[in-house]
Amino acid sequence: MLAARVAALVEFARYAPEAFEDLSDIVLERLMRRVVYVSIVVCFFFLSLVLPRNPFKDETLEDEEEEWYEDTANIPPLVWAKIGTLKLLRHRCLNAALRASRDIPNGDHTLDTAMEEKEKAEKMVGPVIKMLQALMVHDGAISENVKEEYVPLLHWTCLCVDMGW
Amino acid sequence: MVKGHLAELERHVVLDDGSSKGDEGQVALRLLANLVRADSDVKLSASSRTLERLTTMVLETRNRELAKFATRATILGAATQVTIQVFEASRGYLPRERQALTHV
Repeated sequence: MLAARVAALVEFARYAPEAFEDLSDIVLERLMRRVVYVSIVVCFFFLSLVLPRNPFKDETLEDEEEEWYEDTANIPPLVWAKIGTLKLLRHRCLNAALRASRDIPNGDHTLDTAMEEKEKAEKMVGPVIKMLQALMVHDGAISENVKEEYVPLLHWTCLCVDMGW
Repeated sequence: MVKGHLAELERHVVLDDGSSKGDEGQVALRLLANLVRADSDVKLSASSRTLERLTTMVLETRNRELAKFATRATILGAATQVTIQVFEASRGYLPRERQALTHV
């Protein structure tokens, strides 16, 4: 259900930015804590306890395996949720940038308001850019301290790049 | 002509209970969402059944695609007030809020 919830929130951030911004702090705080900072290694550890193992699989070949999911249906919900969260942040930044770049003398849109919007956009976009940079630098992990050895975690970063990030 | 298509798509979305063969309801929902996105003048009918069905999808489905397109159709096709109420409910998915939404 997590992936579906995040997918719905992405649409709100994209098409109803005003409604989303009113409560974005709470939503984003939760998403960061419950989705972005949750290591997929933990998720897969619990899954591995539940799912049956393939007895014919050669463990030594793991490193040489293809790093992409062949079927999107096999991508775990947490990975979808992480991708969704990144999309949400992207739409939020784009909307903020759009608001900041509106023509200054435009009805009630005064110079002060324009400057406020610009500052707000800068505050919003900066941390997101840093986070995306960290994801690229740490091979899909949010920071150096987070151990993301499990190969599929790399996929969600690669998938984001593939999806036009 | 668009209104005719819209009504037909809404009918498919409302009638789909998820059991139909070939995912007709899902396809109709996708088309509906993209139709209201393509033309800002196109709005959903004020039918409470349509809104209730879309709201249920947004709040209760486990299907990522369904949630995505139902949300899109609601935001772009329904009134702003409905969108805000759905969003507020979607943050917590509280039964009480859900109950209130059915009376939108």
